[in-house]
Amino acid sequence: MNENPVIEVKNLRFRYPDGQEALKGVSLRIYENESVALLGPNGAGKSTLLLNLNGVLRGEGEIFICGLPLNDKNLREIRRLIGLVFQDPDDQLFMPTVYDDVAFGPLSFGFPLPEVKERVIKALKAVGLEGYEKRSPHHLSLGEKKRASIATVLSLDPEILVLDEPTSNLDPRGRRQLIELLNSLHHTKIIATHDLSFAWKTADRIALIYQGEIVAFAEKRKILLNDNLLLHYGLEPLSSFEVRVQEG
Amino acid sequence: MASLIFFIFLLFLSRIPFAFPFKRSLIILPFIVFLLLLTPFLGESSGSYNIVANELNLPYPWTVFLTVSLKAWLSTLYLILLSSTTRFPDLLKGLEKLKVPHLIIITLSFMYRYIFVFQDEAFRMKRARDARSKEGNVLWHINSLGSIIGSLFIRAYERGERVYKAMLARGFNGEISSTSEFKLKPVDLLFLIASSLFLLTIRVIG
Repeated sequence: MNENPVIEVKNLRFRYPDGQEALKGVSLRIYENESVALLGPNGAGKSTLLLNLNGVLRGEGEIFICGLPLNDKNLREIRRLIGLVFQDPDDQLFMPTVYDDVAFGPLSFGFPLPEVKERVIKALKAVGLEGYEKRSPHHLSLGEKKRASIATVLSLDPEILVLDEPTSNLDPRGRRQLIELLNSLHHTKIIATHDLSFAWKTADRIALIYQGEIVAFAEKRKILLNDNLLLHYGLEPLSSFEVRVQEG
Repeated sequence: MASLIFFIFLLFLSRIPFAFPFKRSLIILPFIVFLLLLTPFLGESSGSYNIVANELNLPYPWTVFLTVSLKAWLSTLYLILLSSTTRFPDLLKGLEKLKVPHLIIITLSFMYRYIFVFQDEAFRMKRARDARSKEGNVLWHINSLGSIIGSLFIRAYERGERVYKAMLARGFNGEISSTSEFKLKPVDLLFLIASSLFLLTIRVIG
């Protein structure tokens, strides 16, 4: 593990305009190439935290991404470094074709056209959607949409992948394919979810978030095998079956 | 008339079923009926119309009626032909080449992307309503339709916010650049020449 954290959040507070305090002083450090699952029930502040990391929402406190402090000057570079994938692929895929969507990021950052094309092809290949360039996002299955969503951020060659509820509404096959895909990508990853078995299969460490605070942050077995802890914070313990299968 | 012949010529080239655009073009029928209702109230005019209908020596209001309906019908036929042979993203790229303002193209592109998403959403809401509706109560149905439309608006607004965030996260800075790589192929050139010749011939003969 590298000594310098890739993501460092110090005492982050965020309040929505309606006065609701969504983050009450969150601090965490995430290191290179590790995969962290952000676990918590609905409304715990998972999405809010993710949107703060790349400055789409701005709270109080300090955030460093790859050593860069999050401020107006570094905002663009930080957005390139962090690939944020939204929960609903219909939000993430907003262009008329898959190609245009995957090309959107590189074009926004002003890469020359031949390079954009190269990046799109590479990103689609990484998620196993070669040949989908001309398809309209509306005509993809949900699993394909999720993978296309990931391609839209891979095309920017980010250091960090951030995914918000990647398994929501996915069927078992789509979910399995997504697990394989995520495990094949060696970026630093943050995955917000309340799907514990998904976290078990994709994460190294788990951060438990509850009512706007990080209440536990440790190696995955310490959290996922601690039934009392999970129940206390509104989550369902993993069935021993899942773990047995994983232990094989 | 020339226009119609040209249309059939194009239709032949496009290899779509022959009757298809004609069937689809029936959609303008209500407008024509509406026009028909208005026709008797049109006044006299001394203006001359350089079109087929004029040669039939019809009274002025009927000339107008024929001209307008024929034009509308032909335009619809061409539109159907265009939309059934050209994919929407290609149309947008074409518009871009024609120097249509970027803002309009972006708006159209979002419209095309989300119209089906909203359609699905509306359909799901309608089904959810039907699943627990009292049968046959028209007033109640109209009432609930109002709520459906209302929440559709709110959902659209919220989706807009989320999409905007997703755009920001990928480096959006107010401009959408395009990947347009349309080139004039020899086939296109051939098509252009053939069409021009065809139209010219009709013009000369007619």
